Amino acid sequence: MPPETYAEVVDSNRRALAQARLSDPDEHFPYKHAVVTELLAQPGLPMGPGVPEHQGRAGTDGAGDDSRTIEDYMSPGIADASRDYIDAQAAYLEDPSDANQDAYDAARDRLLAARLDHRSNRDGLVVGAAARRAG
Amino acid sequence: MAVTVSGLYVANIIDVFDATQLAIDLSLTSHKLALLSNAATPNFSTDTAYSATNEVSGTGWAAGGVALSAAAAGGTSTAPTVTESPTGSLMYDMNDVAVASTTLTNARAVRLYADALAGDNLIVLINFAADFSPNNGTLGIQWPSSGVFAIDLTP
Repeated sequence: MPPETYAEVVDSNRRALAQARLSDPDEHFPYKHAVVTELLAQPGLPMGPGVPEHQGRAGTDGAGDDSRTIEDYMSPGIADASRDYIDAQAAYLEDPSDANQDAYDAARDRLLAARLDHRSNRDGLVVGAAARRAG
Repeated sequence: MAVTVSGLYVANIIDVFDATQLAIDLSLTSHKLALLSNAATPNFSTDTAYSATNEVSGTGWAAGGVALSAAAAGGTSTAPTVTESPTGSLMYDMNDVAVASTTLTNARAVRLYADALAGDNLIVLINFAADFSPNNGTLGIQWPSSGVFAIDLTP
């Protein structure tokens, strides 16, 4: 029997979207934790160009610039937290229960904390609404 | 003709909230990052769909962009998140982008768009403020502590 009320249609569509996402090969399930772990096992692995000189840091963008390493883009904490977040997200999409939502939110917060720890000394970009006001 | 600021594509954001019910789920990883040259002049009020005009692509970074599911180190997911940070603001964030073995010329900005939607709807543009031309190197985007973007909902 098809849904009749607005709320029923919304709920039905939400479940359909969740299943479509879980089965989408272009989505990120499961997280490729082993690939990241292998990269992080090579400390100082060159990860290419840095930033232009005019931004006040060492390195130029172009051939032969190895001023950036894997550690500039990824940390073990982010890799672990990404795996947990994506697993929790999949569980929530499969079953949007309160318990799974709590676990999903908690995993997200741990990933945010891992990112914040990794970026603690990083300069900020001005993006979005604030940037438009400034521009 | 230039990229001068970063910004959200306002018409599409409005459509998320009105009767259009545009289904932009910011946690999707089928969204793509497409590069843009400084020949472009973004209009955040009227631009709504991804276009190949003035796109920058090359080896390692195909035309149409790189999916978030494979844009972080090692071709892994950037694991995008949506949360409240700081208090009163919606923050969109993801793991840093690091696409290896990339060769291309003069990337000035990157656009995030919803590749899974029929309209290829634009979400946000990030202005690099300089041209980047990696030569068989990693094109990386290191996001700030404050995330990719934040919308202050309690000004």
